Amino acid sequence: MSGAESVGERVVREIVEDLIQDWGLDLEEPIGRETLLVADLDFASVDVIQLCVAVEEHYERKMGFQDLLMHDGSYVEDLALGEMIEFISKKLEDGSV
Amino acid sequence: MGVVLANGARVNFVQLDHEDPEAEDIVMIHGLATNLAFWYLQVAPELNRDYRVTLYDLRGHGRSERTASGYAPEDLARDLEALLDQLGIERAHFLAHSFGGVVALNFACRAEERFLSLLLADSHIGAVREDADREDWDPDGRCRQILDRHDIALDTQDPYFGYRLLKVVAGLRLRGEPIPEELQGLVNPLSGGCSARTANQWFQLLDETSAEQELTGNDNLPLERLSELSLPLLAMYGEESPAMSTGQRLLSIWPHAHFRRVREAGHFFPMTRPQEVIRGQRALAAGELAQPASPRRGEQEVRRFRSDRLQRYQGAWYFDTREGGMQGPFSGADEARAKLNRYLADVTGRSVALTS
Repeated sequence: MSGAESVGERVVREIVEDLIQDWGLDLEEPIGRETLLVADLDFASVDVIQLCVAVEEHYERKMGFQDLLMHDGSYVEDLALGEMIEFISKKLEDGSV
Repeated sequence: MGVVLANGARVNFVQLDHEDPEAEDIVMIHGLATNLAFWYLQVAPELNRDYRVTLYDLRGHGRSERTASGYAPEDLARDLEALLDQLGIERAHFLAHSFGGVVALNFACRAEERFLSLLLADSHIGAVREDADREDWDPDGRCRQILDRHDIALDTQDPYFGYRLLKVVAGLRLRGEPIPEELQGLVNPLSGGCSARTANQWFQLLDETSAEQELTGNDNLPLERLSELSLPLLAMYGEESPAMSTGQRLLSIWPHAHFRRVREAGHFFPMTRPQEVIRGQRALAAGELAQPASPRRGEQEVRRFRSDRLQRYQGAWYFDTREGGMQGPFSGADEARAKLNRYLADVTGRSVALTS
């Protein structure tokens, strides 16, 4: 992880850490923007949804995560936390849902 | 998101609120070896425009608790009832896929008054699974050939074929072996088949609990009992799905229900063709599903599946004519629907003119 952590990064990281706290994962690197949800954290689809719901609850607004998690009608195979953080930042900046 | 305690098990749910506090509820029930994510990204947000949406993980699935027992459809229907009671949902529309439909039907047999409607998506019931005279769902052997190409020794006519295939694919995932794309398409398009954790969860469920026995045991849905249901019902089945034989049988016992064939689709069409399910649900709730077409002169009145006449092809929309032709392209579904309605009005008008 490089540079200071933004508020958005901290929010997502803390939600992720809360979700995985009792999974017994042995992480080689600390959770950061490069962390992959499936490959690194062993997320199942329901965990991705749980993360999305928690983010929406935190910001008290819908984010339209289907635009991030689906491409051409298929679910993306994996997602870096940085991609999610950028998506959330953009939604918050332009006020779009 | 939250958790309720339902008959001794922690059940995980997500609710999508609606801006209108008076909006009706819709509850979505997923099938085996998946979870509420099945609905979350495509069907749920779209139907959330109309309803307050409740999604939940069946016992032993997703983030709901894995208990030692309690997986028979009757038990899972009781979990559903407990969830609704605790969320204060008195009546709701229900949208259920596959085994989720078996749970929904068990609940309907006990508490039909709580159903505003039921959309049953590709649910297979025991009374038809076990019927040796049911039609071969893979008559051209397409599925058989896929299995052969990957050395999978399963009988496609096994009453629980889909369930057994899930187990095989989950095993591949757990061993870290690649899952061929054509095999993924047969099992579950969700997140590339399923994640290692989902696969592991499925195996633990089968190995450490009585789930396997209960899930493939008596589903408590005899046709005589089902025939007594009178709730508003839409049954949708994939044209290429093993469950189609159940759809054909239900057609004969539910004269009031509507039946739709999803063309060139397999068991998982709510994920691969979500717009057809969304349109079906809206039409069912609005009472807008067309009654079966009146027979043409010389034809006997036979109940049959109907297909949605709208279809999307290479980004444009078309509708099918009664003669099997295709009209279009149209820029959107609304325009295609409007043109279809005009076409049907013309056909009906011509028919009246010819017979008067």
